[in-house]
Amino acid sequence: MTINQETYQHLLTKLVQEQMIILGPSIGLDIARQIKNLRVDENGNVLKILSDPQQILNDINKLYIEISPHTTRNTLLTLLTKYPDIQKPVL
Amino acid sequence: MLVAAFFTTICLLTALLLYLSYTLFYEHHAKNSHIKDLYEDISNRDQSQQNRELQLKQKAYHAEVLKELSERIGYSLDVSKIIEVITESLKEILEYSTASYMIKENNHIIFHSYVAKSVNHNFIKDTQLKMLSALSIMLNTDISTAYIEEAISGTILDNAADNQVGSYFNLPLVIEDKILGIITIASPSLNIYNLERAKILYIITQEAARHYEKLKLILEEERRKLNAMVASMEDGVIMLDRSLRIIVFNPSAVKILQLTNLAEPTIKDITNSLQGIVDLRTKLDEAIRNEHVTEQEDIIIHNRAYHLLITPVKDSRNELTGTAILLRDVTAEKELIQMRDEFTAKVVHELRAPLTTIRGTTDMIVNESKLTEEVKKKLLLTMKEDSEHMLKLVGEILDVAKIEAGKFQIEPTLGKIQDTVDKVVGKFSAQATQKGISMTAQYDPATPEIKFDVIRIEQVLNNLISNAIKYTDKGTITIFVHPEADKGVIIEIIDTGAGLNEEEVKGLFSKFKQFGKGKTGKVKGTGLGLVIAKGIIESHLGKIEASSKGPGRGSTFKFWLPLRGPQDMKGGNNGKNITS
Repeated sequence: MTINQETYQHLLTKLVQEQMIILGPSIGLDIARQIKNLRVDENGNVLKILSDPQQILNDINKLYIEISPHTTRNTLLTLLTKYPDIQKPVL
Repeated sequence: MLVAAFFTTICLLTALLLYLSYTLFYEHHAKNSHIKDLYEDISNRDQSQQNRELQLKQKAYHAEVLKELSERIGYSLDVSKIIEVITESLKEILEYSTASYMIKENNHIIFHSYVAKSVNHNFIKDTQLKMLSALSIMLNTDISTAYIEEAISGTILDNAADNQVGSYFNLPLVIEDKILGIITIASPSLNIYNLERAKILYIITQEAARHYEKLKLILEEERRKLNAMVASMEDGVIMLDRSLRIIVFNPSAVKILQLTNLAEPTIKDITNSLQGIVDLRTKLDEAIRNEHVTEQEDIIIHNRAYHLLITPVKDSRNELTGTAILLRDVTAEKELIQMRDEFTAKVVHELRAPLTTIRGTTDMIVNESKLTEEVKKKLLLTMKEDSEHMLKLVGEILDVAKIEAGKFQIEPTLGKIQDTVDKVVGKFSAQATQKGISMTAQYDPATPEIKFDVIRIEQVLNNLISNAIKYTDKGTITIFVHPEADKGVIIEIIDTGAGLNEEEVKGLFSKFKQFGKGKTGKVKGTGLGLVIAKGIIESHLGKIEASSKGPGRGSTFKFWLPLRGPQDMKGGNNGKNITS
């Protein structure tokens, strides 16, 4: 089953926005903006995914884990319960 | 003509002006372009220089904070200390107005804000709200309505200041996969924090958490060892925290206070069990109030004597963390003191009795002129007997004193122990026969020659054989002498006499328990013979022991003398202490 771009966009937006609350807006956003093929606005809304969305999810997750492993794992696992079709990145 | 000249002049001037304008414009443009390039070059160089400086600064900060963490935290598992080390050192690398932390406790939230630059109260409130939101997401629980225990330190708040949180970032604090709280750095300035500058703090926070985890493991291991040690102690140990809650209650304490039926005893159970014996609460208050050890000697709990010690326990900052109660069983010590006193009284009595007789007899000889020579001779013989008894008594007491002081000397020579046994058996055979006792000595022909002090071993045999005759009415006394594979020689004296019970066997070699017992019966003595025998055998590096199947079933006294005498052994044994 293919998952549409919009679902990933929605999940990634949620993830970035939660990390902006946990880590603070600037740090949460700085990390998201390190991902090349991801366009995020000031409020953490993911505007565009320019490459494989699963790979983007894996990459962004990796960066957040580097900064705050435990909280990233927790928040992502909670979020993923609402997106059962999306593959869980390595946590 | 004039018009033509004027026109030519105008053209020339225009051309000149155009040339000048072009030149000026070009030069200006070129100059501007050069400045821009130069500026960009300098700017790039500045940027890379700044980056290098930042990296160096961050490295130095990293090393400094780690050093401070290990120095200041030491062996304390205080999370707030870790947070303090991190927040207090922040100013080295970041500009900020407040460094706050929020810790989730069981029923409330602890919020502490260190104000570096004055802000208003709303700034603090806003920071607090942001931290509550972050912590709620991290814990996946809404904690916004939880009770907050608030503390603010540092610069005084200035409510007139017109500032609000412009920039902030959070450092989640997770230890052992458990979210403990959050650290938030905030400033009224806009956009001053970025990942590059803050990353080092995330690394340090994670390292601090790992440091804490390692420390906790070490301390848990130490605590486990300490608990095992306390549990195995014979003294009763009870440790209380500041709220008088029991932290440690070792098995000996449970046994002493007879609280075996309680799964988790409280301080009330303990004070109740000591009611009428000692007022524990008052003693605890006294120890805590005066901050020194409080003692009470000789308290009797279930028929045993204890020494109670209450010690206030302090941490490295000299702050009271609890109290330790120690119950030391001093029953044996008390019994020993009592036995020692009785021993002294008996010695005095034993010396005074013959002295009184001697004085009385002397008076009689001096004052009674009508005494016949025969009576006088009889009286003098009695005096001789009494003084000999006193000499024997003093000699034996001196021997015991030398043995106990480790100054008892022996003079071993190589010889056959059988000869000494023969001599003593021969000496006592008539006495044995008179009592209807059959006394025989049996020697294993393989018994080797050994080094021993002939006079002292004869003294031991005299004591053991005379005792055997004394406590045997008809029957047999058998002395066996045999070697013990390459180790030495064993001498056993087995009688079929009165025998001993278990308690009597235990006290046979104690000077306190034996002294004076030799008085009874036909053979007089101090009762110290066995104590001295033990000292003599142990001076030979041997061993002596007694056994009996019970009253009326005879006794066996057995001693072993090693092949290698004490002078062959390194250091000898003349300094050995013999306990009673």
